Amino acid sequence: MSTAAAVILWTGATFYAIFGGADFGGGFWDLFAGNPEKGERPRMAIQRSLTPVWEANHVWLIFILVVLWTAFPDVFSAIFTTLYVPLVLAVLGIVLRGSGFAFRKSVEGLRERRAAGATFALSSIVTPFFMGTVVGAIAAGNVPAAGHGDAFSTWLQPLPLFIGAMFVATSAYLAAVFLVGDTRRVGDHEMELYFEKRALAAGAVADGKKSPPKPKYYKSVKIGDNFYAPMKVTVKPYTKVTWRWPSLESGGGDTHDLDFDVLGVGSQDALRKRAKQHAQKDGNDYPSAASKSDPD
Amino acid sequence: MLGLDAIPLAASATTNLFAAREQMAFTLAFHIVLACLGVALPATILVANYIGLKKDDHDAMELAQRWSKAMAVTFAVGAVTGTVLSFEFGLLWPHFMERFGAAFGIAFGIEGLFFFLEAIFLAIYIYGWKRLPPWLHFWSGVPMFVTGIGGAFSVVAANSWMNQPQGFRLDAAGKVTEVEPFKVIFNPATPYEVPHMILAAYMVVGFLVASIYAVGMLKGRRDRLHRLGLLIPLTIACIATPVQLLVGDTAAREVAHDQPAKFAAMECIQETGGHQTEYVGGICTADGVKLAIPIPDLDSLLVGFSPDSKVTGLNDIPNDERPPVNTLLHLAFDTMVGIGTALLLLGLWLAYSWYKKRDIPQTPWFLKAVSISGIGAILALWSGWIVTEVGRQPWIVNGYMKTSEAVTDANGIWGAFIFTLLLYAAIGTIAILVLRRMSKRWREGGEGTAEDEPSPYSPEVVG
Repeated sequence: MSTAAAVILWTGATFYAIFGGADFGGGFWDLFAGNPEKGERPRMAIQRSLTPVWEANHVWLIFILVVLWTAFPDVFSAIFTTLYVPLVLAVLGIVLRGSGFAFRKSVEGLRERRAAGATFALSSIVTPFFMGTVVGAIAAGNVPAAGHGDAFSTWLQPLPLFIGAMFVATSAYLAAVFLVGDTRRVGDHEMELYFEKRALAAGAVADGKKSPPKPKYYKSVKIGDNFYAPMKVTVKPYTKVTWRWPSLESGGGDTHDLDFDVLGVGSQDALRKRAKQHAQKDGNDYPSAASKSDPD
Repeated sequence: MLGLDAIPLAASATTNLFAAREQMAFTLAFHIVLACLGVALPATILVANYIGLKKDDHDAMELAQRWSKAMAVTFAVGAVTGTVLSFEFGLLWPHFMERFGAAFGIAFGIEGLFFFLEAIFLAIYIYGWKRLPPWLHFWSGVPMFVTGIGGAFSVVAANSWMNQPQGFRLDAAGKVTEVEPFKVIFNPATPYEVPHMILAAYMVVGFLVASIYAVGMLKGRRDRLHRLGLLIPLTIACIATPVQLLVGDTAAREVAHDQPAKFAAMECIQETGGHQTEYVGGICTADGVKLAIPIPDLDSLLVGFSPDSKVTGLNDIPNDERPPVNTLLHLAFDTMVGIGTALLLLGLWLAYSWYKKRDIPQTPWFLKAVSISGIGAILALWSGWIVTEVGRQPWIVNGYMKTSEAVTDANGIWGAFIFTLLLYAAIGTIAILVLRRMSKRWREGGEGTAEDEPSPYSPEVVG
């Protein structure tokens, strides 16, 4: 029963990571799109892909919270009594991001629009970062099962902070990949190339490596044996993450392997190949992995 | 002296409890207004849309268009303040969630689903204004109406369960087991709390939207658009009001029966017995109600349809299980009933005038009354929630867990509360400014301006 709940929770978290993550990443690229003139076209492209879906994507977070507190009330309480500082900062980010997005379209004047836009963009980085530190602190086994862990030392550590940064990088990468597909669909080649470059850059950061042939970064983290935390998290190249859930009823009999390759579009090679193709000729009907996974 | 329980601030646990309750009360009060718009605005928009299509009425279509664009803004802000609430369950009341999350969570899961669907269909409806065939577009909006009601049902069912918990067992450690979801959702308080809240949402939205157009008419904008903008929501609210009074009356009787402590506190009943006096207004003290208008036997009559009906008084409730701040509760209850009655009279006034001459009453006093009815409905809404929530104290789960056992030990709640006050004040102000500017733009731009209004759910058209 609780294994089934864990799988549901994991599925929800994955959907939130992919769809919500891509929305956060949109904010990331919005922030770094440059001055109003230079950044107008990428910002428009981001807006276009984000507007109809961002609210629905946000609901995955509520889904995760509700399943967590219904299926694992002790865990929910343990996490919230320990990691309340990053959680408050994450929810602050959510408030600012949502209202920034709600208001930026309707306020008049460039200055107000920019303020609302900047609020939206900045909080798009703050939110995934602190969510990442929460996940990192849980994965590191820093949350006591009885809750009430230290409010700061539990997450102000290299691993949680690193995971927070990874959340931001992964979000940026996902958004760029989605935007490549999106801009391609409307036939905006310039923007397609623009986001392709950024997908490659963010992918390199999120992968923790610079060049594809040999993985320089391979990390296998052995983490605490909390009954609710995954026993082992392996981060391989190509953003393939394997979570191994311990059995929640017994002392760890059956395990479940859940494989997750970012929709199969995360392949750096496919993107790189396409970027090369682009540089050589301006074709319209080349195949790509990204278009298959178009969110719309 | 005033019958107000002294609010102890010395002990830190008590301070946390008070701070957490204030934080929760404030964020809930802010959210509930936006939630009402999410629940009841779709129906208002759809009525205007239907009239517009059926009678080829451009003004009605224009109104539907404008309201949907305004709703996009309030919906986005409401989603955010709703998210804050789900975090607060863990941040402020971790021990409540720890012990009762398994039962309490079910209704919220369903609510999440409804909200998900409403967000999707709102986006489709707003995105579809120029893109879908008119009738298909109308039907794409209907799910918003259904999901709004479904969402309200599930959340209020969760609150009803806190008032009348059932559908679970407690194991030796006091933890919830053997949850029966159906019994949790359809607890004895659900049948009256849920319709009471849904009707309240329709009243708040109807009177609020009508009051905006009433202000416009008082400023001399007496075009057909303003008249329709006043009449459509006002009619909806005036139909909801008498039903609401009946539902509310039933609810009060049920509360008297099932939650006698809450009822005794809100009616200031000190001694159990028959022939209870109904006090209108006043201050509750242990020696009775001061400065009130007493109506002999009426309370017993309302509870059991007979002056002899026995009503439980506070003397039969253990001292540590009595709701605090009796006077606040009593006045909140009276405010809700008083405003509800006044709104009923406003509805009768409109109905009479409509029956006589197919028009709204011509005196400016009618418009003045309508223009404050929106604020009045919100005050009544808040008062009702004060009665429900403060009246359940000291319990968080009635009879099972006290609010003081549920609260977090985390530091800094007061700081967070002050920060929240400032942040929400800013968000509220900006939201109102944005809505006002939108309306000004539409007024100056004339018909069709709203069609091009950008909204948080519809991307700008390219090329």
